Amino acid sequence: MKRRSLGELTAIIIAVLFVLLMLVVPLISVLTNALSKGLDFFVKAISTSHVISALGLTIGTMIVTVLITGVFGVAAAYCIGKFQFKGKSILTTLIDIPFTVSPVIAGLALIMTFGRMGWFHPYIEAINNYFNLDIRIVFAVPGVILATVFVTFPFIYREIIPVLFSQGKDEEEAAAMMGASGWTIFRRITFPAIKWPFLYGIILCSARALGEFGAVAAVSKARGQTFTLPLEIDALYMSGSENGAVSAFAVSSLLVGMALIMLVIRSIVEKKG
Amino acid sequence: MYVELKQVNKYYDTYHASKDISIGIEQGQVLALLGPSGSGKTTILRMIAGLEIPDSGDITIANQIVNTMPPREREIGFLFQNYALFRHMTVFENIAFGLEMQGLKQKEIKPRVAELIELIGLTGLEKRYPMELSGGQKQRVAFARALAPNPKVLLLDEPFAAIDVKVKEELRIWLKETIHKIGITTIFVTHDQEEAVELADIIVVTNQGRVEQMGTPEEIYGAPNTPFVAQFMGKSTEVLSYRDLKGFQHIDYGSSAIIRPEAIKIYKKGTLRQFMSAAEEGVIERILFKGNHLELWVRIGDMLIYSNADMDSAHFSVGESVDVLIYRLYIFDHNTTQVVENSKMNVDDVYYI
Repeated sequence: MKRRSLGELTAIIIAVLFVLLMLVVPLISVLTNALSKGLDFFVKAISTSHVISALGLTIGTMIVTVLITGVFGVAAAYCIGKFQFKGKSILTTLIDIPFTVSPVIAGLALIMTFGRMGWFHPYIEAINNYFNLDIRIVFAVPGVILATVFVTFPFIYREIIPVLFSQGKDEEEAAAMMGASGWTIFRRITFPAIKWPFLYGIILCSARALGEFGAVAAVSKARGQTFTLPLEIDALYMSGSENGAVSAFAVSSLLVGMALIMLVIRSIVEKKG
Repeated sequence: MYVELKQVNKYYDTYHASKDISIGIEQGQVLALLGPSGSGKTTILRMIAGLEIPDSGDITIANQIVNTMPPREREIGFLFQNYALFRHMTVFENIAFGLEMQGLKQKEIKPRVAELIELIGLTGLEKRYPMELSGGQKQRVAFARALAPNPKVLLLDEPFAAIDVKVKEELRIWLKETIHKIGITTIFVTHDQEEAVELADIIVVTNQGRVEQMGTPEEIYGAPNTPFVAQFMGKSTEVLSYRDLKGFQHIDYGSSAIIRPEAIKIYKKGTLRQFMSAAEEGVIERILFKGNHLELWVRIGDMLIYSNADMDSAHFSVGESVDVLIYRLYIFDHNTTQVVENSKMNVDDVYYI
């Protein structure tokens, strides 16, 4: 083995210490705290009706979000990567807004758009009256999904676009010369090339959707109904009782577990792709 | 004419990429679009393919106007400069793609693909992916893929640009033979005049979006219409004060002239045995060793003239005074070209015949 220089050694030590202190130790503390009152308490803590509702909503939101951002991401990347049109540069800039805007602002923006004082409220009311429905967006499940979509929608697009750009459109043109229609070209030529980055984007998007707090907190107010796991954890912790704090850690370990599964899938996809 | 462009114009925003292009090719012929990069030759090819749409003028294939017909309906085989093989498909799948698009069944596709793979001499490599092929093999696969659906016209964009010199020569011969064997009407783009002369029945020289000249290789080489064509065909020198050269003093027309490297011969002092009166005094200014020959630049007065010399000819060095014989000039007068032989050498010839 070759001798490492002092600089190299220092850099490695700093990186390892940082990961240990900032990531590993806190994660271990979550798990130990979660189990500090015994396994029975742990099981009870994660099987309250509030937690089960939050778990269901979190997973449901994640699935719907991935479906929406997946379709959006592929469509946006395809048109931006392969075609020239007016306003393309504006579109590419707008897509990145969620990266720069705080999630809380996204949530508040949804309230101002769809809430009681919002621009679209009269239309929603009109539809509800006409069809005798009771559709609500904010402070309801649709709002939770919209908020999650808002913060995650560039993820899949961002993974696909560099691959599309680097490939150019020669293969598509070659397929067109051989008699393929637009849809066939997409299905047979374009999509197979972006399959792995697409999958990778789905995983990143799912992980982000699981953990979103700020935007969802702004449009959600009923525990057991519109609370996702991060909000439920916050509510348990903020309840002030000693049991509440330990329960919060128990539920947290649930979320951490899901995140770790994502991490494993991610590294498998990364290797394959 | 089988494929014909009539006064075709194409703009990219304000850039005039094709200016009044009128060219044509008979069935079964091979046409070369020859020009420097940025001269608009690839734009012409892409318009014939339908990948670009002309802003004015007509493109006809087999007497049918195809201006806005989508590429997939044109029955054209297109070979891309970097081949554009489908990277996630095998050699077999690549070649079969066009046949599948025609709605053929696997039973019909298999023998046709096998036949093509044999034609390109890659039997046994059907299951390889493009990544696992050499440049020359990729080119052959792309060629077979373009031919698979039995196109009416074959278009090749810089077919040899991405291949190393050694394989290039061999592939060129192979491509020429294969095209003639199939007898398909072919149009290809190149910036290499040697390639154009070797492969094409007709050469179209393009420059700045315009057609400079269209004709057989002999016509283009022997009777260039413009100084640009003359210079592009062979590494020639343009001279303005050609009336100062011995044997050309009597010429009273033209604005400039071209000297081809093969129309000039350089002699060491004292080795010249004939045409003494036609010899110019020159000084070697630059020598480039090219492996099998030398490239020489010799200065005569204010003219710096390019020439070649064999390796086994006399040994020259920079700064050496030499005798130079100039056999002929291409003189340009407005839009006509005159080939003028050295008058002093013609007179001397009498003694030797």
